[in-house]
Amino acid sequence: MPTAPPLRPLGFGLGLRPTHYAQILDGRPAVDWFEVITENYLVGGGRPLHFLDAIRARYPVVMHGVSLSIGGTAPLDLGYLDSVRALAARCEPAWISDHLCWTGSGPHNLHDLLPLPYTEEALAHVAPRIEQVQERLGRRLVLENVSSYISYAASAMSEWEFLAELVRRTGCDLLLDVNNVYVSSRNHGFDPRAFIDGVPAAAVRQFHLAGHLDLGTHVIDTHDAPVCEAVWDLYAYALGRLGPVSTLLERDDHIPPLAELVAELDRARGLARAIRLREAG
Amino acid sequence: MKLAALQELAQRHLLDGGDMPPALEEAIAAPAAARWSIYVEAYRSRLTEALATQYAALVARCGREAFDELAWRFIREHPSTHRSIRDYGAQLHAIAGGDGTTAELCLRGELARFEWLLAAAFDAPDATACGAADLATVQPDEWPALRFVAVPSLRRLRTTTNAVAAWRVLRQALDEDPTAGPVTGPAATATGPVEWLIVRPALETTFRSLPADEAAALDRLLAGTPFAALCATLADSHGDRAALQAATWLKGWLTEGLLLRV
Repeated sequence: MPTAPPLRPLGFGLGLRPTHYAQILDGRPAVDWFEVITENYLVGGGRPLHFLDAIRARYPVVMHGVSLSIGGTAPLDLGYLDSVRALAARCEPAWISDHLCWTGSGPHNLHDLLPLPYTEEALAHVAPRIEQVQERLGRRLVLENVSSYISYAASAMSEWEFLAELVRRTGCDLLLDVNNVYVSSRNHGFDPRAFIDGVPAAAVRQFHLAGHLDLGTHVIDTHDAPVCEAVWDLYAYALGRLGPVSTLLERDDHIPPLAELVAELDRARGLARAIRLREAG
Repeated sequence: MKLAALQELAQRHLLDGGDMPPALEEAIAAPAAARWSIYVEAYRSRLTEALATQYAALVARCGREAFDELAWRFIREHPSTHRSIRDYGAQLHAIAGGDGTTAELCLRGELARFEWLLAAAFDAPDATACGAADLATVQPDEWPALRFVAVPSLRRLRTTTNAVAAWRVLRQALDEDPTAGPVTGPAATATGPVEWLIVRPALETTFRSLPADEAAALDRLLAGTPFAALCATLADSHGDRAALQAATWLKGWLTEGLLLRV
């Protein structure tokens, strides 16, 4: 994969949801960029692409996929990759991301982000697939850490060691989902700061922030609530270690009015500013 | 266990349900069964929710509990092979309609089919339909061989119940208050065959019923019948008025944005 020049951070963005289309176009909210779920726009035409075009004319966008199945053992779906590439040609995203996971075996899609065992076998399987995707898309892939509820007896390294090794082998970039780090740390009992310390800083292209459901014994990644205090603290830690990385607030259920999300995003903006000022001295 | 075998085993359990296979329980660190059940429940609820969104009027008609049972049966019989969950659920009407032995079952099957076709038209490829002005330059000797195909969003449906009337009532209730309790709409009645046309000329999807003779003519035209041959097929039913009737329908179809010229 050719070396690309470093990208300037996009600032503070929101996940684009249809319920907010009109408010975005009418109100021009103080959002720096939008992230679109790739699969929602892999359609022939109509309202989804109409609004994507209109919003893209006003804001930068990033494409975020959920069905690549980079860790799946079925051959990569080249037709899907070609449709992703065609959508990218249309909306010119700053980058394209998906998840380090598998979503199905054979032709099936379970529509879930299932974790991989962190083994040498999995590394040897996933790394060439990342290279194949990067070749097909003509750009670096940005991979997100998923939240997980299980781990595998066979895992021989931590998730962050696995991600770091993938970056080393393929030159891919990372989307660090701070909420997912927190959720997985609670479910598996690791130190979330060790995760953030363990990923290669130069590869982190984007942060995700989201809410979750805390059941006490374990935590479910639901994207249906505001970001909790513990995740804000972890985000502040990530900003301190990794610098001004493009930040995206996700909400997929119980979606509030746009103004409420913009206000929550302003908290991220304020945190980043405070840390920058503190570091400046 | 090799990665491929692990994924196959895990997927098989998600698709088929039942007890957790011992080999899967061994592969997952403790507490394996409790944590794996999160994925098992998420698989069922995510796909059910996607179907409920796609078939909102059918949910209202059946009630949520009955719909969830219907959806789970569909999910077990038709695992998704789609990259986008929006594309999942095309065959639900076959299960919703059951054995079709009652008007209510027929209505549910047709209601599901109607909702699916509306969704298919919603994000079908855009196209610039042929308009009357585009045919202004067609020479008289070219008319007999004139052929058309449908714009990509065009869908056809035949109902035998008042499913579309029920859809209107259910949809209106949902639009007014999506959180309202069950709304069943009118009682199911057999209507005899009614032909429907669904199309999205720009961004808004529209639909209307078609008289049987117009429906048959449109279907013939879209199947590749040249205009002169279409006029000839109308001679039996319309006599001397066949060409005039064909021209009248064609003008209407062009105005509605149904056609692309071959």
